[in-house]
Amino acid sequence: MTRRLRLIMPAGIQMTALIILALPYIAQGVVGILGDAEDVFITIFFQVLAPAICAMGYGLFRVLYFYPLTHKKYGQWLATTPWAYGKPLPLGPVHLVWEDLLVVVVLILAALVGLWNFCTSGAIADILLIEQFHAASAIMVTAGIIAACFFLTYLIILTLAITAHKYITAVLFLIPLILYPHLNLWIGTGIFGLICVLVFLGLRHTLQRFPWNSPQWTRSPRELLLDDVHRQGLIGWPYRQIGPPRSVRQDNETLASIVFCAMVGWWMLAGPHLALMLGRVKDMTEAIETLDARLRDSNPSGNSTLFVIWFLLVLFLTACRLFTYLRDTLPPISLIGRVRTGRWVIPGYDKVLVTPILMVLYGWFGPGLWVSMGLPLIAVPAVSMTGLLLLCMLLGPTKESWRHTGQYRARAWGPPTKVSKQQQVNIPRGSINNNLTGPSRLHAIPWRVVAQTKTGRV
Amino acid sequence: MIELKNIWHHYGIRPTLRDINLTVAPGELLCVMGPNGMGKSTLLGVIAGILAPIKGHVRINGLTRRASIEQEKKIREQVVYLPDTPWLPDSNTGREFILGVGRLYGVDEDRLFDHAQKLLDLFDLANKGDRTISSYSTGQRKKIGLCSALITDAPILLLDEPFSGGLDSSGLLALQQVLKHLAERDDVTVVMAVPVPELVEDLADRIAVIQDGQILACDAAAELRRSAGNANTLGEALEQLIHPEGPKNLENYFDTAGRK
Repeated sequence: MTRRLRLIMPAGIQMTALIILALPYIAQGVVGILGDAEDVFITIFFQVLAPAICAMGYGLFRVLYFYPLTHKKYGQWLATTPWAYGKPLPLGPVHLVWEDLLVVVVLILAALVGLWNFCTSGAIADILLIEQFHAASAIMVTAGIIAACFFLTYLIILTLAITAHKYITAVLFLIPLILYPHLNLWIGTGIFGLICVLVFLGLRHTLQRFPWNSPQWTRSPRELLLDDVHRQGLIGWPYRQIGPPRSVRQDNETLASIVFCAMVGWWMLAGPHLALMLGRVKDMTEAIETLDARLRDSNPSGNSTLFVIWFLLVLFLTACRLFTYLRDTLPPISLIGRVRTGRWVIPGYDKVLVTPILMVLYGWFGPGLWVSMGLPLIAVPAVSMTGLLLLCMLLGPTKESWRHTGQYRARAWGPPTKVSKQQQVNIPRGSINNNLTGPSRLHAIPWRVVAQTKTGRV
Repeated sequence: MIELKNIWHHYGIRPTLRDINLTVAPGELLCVMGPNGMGKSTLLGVIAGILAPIKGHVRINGLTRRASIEQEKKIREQVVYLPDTPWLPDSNTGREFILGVGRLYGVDEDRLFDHAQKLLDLFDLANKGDRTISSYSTGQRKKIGLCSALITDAPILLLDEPFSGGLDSSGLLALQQVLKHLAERDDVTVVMAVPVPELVEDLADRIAVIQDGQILACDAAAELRRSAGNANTLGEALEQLIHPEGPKNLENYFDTAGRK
């Protein structure tokens, strides 16, 4: 057991946890010396918060340190070994093991030791505005808080770190379903359990496909180098605008866009519903109208303040799309040139303006259209937003098509230079990692060092 | 091979390019010459893909510019364009910049580093190569820009006024020799806009003379001289082609000045 504990909780972490857990008592002593030892808020703040922070930190650590994708050096090293799914990970397991429970129990006990007197004396009940507060309930609440801090942190970080997109999509879809539309504890628990299962399946799926299907692992060394070139701001006019392309076209971009739009719509539908349900409002349409009326009262000039907010959002998204497409470009001829030469429409250039115009038209007429079609008022924002995003992301031309075939004039500009003088002068002498070879080696070390090594100037 | 077919372009009302038809063979060094503001840079910009012509099309090695994503990508890998004043990353060193451009064009790593050093030596930048570009003089900035174009190993070089911008005599000579070498031995196609005829008389395979957006003549320097009545220099030949009334105007000016 000791060996396993060392695996999931190395000595350095054990020491850090001990120090954090000891801090409340030190703080309590300091507060006592200062004269306000009875301040229940300070006590609870320190004695619940410290173990809770420890629990969250431990959850974070359990993913970031043991998962080869988030621990990059570990992952790079692991890729050079014959490790495959099924064999134990050298640093320790990523999935939860019973020793984790032991760590959480220790944290719960640490929280309870300090709180025991307050829980039993009823002081905590006053804080939580509960009339009767029993010791058993206090233990349950404290244990629940600490365990939730650990488990939710672990689960969220793990969800963000798995590369299996279908599992992540399913999890994101299921999250609102924990409460909406049923608001039932048992159904919610069941769905939460399903989310946990999906996350662990996603983890297994990810580990099975080592090295993973994520950009940083599958991109060629050249693509990584090119990213480095752009990140360092080395490329400007004209190489940035008309140099060889650096991005690789993703085949499933359309599907990903549709899923993203649908997900935004779903969250926009569930979010207001949940807020209203938790606010115990029965008639949601009435609630929306009341909200609009209140907003209108604060801004009497507008017809419908909700609509104004919506339309501003539409304009913002339209501007974002236009900026994304037009930031490197100018029209092929000036406006006066168009008018005087009778070239009112230049299809090769003006095609980029079609989608923004449609977005603005949809923003103006879309919500009214949905209402007139009998859609419930509460669902209109969600459906309108999904439609707007679908227009924005799916209507052509694609960015790649525009960049390569648009009839624009490239604009001469370069990125702002970012590297400070200090960064340039201080070259770490031991920067070159001799364990790596080939392009990875070049990628891992600063450019200046590479250049100077090659020319024998170091 | 670069082919321009019926190219028309205008930024505003006045056409900058008018019905340009031009073919540049592989390994050919073509100079575009003409008075200021007559469309030299615009022509280069159209070939480089900076501009989309209002009419006509540009074909490079059989691929049409801006016709499809795949064709355009292939063209971009083969063509490098250097404007007269390119953007330079002031906070980075010259060596970092040219290495970055080389990587953008997918030059092999080992060749890249050796080539960078050779270019810096050639243009007398060996001592400045590892200093930030902000400390470079105007001529040195021009040189590092040229290095960035040359390091790409692209088969088609488009250079807008490469000899201007404060280049010193050794830089001029080095660039002339490099361009000659590239065109003769490495089969690199070079198209450049140069306003000074003396610099390219011995260098260019052909010279395209452009005026008011049209190509007046496109031939070897010797042929241009012959067609201008066996002019002594290319400069004189161009003067007769572009400004036939130029000597008369000059005579008038001196007559008037003499009377005063």
